Amino acid sequence: MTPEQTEIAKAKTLEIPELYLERYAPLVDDVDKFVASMRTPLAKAFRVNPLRAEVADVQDRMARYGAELTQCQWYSDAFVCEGIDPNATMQSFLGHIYVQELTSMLPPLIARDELTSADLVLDACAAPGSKTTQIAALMRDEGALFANEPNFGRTRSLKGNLARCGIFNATITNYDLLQFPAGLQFDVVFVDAPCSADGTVRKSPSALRNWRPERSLKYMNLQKQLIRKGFELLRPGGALVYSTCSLSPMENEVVVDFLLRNFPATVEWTPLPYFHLTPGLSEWEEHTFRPEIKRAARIWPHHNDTNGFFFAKIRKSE
Amino acid sequence: MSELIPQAEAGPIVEALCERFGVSGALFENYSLYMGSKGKVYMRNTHDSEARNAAVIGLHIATVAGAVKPSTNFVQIFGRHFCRNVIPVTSTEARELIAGLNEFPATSALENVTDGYVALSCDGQSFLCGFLKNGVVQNMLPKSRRRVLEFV
Repeated sequence: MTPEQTEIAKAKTLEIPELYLERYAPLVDDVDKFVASMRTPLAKAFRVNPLRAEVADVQDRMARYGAELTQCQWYSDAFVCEGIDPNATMQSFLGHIYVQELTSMLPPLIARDELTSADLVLDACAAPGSKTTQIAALMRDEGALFANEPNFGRTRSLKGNLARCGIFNATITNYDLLQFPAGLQFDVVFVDAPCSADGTVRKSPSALRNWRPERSLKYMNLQKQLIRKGFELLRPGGALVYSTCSLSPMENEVVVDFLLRNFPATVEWTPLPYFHLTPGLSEWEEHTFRPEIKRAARIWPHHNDTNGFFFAKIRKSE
Repeated sequence: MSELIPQAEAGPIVEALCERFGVSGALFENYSLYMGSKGKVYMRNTHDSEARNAAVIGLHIATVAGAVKPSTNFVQIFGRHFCRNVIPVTSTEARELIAGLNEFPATSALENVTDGYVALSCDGQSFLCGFLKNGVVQNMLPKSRRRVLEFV
């Protein structure tokens, strides 16, 4: 068996904890499809880096290597790649492409309009740099992008990826976000918060190992602090994009609801043509959320053949 | 911590790179240079935002240690503008160099190439910096960026 066949065989027999299904089955539209998608490995995807390469040139070179590419209808720079490992190509080495999960491309993409004209942008939890390099590309490498990574060890991969992609507008900082100096007022802030990652099972089946719903509680407390700090660093009228790769309402709707109840913030629905987004939950267990939470978006793995994900684009009142 | 390099000191660094590879100084017009640790020179788009306790500002383009040594980033990004000191290699050679081959014998009939820092190019794309001396190119690709590529 090839490594790919082994991976598929292993995924098919993936044990999904009962507690996990108990938690998420009531939230999905089709439990069978949800479970089936969790048992299907995720195909590799990449994004063309427009600062370094043309889409047509990349398509041509990847085809010569034997790659079968499917261009995403919702983002013309994004491709699903089968047949070869895109990481093992000259295009990856040169930063012409960035191998990145499709859902990870969503937060910068939904702020595309803001990024085009932004002077000052903060990526608050930046390593390893997938979103950061995409943000820089959407800023056309203009303005100033602060890429903050609290873990010093992880700034190494961030630095390497920014260099590989030829980014000139980035400054790497190494603050615990809660200690990030006041004074700068950002046009756009990204908080891709540390999370339980229980939406990434298709990529990392180990996310289910020792899965416990209580883990989300630990993350939720940190996430509330991070979203609040990110919001404080935002200028009035600016946009904050909060995202996680968790499916847990505790790490998503509960966190955004906390912000809406305590700060002058609103959520904006951001449709993506050809991409199936599910509105945020209006209630869950004992929680009733602010109605506008429905303008946040859940991504279920079986809807777009991706990992699970959550994002909310939040506007700070003028 | 990085410090803005005053114009008077940035000029000779830019001139050294332009002179070696035959590129126009205009390429650097909209950028500022910063000096980091160990003589590393970083280049950033000109913007008046305050960089607070930054670990890294912009992109590492060269290292000043007596001579001005261009970085891999500089060669990859600006390589398409180079008109001298570029050595073309085959895809097999490129694969070996990226995987970590330390030395590479340059062919004898190289036009517009003199001893010193050179760009190695494959299929029209400059991909790494080397140092040519007595017909042998030393691979300057940092170890952290060396990798095995299947498709070149």
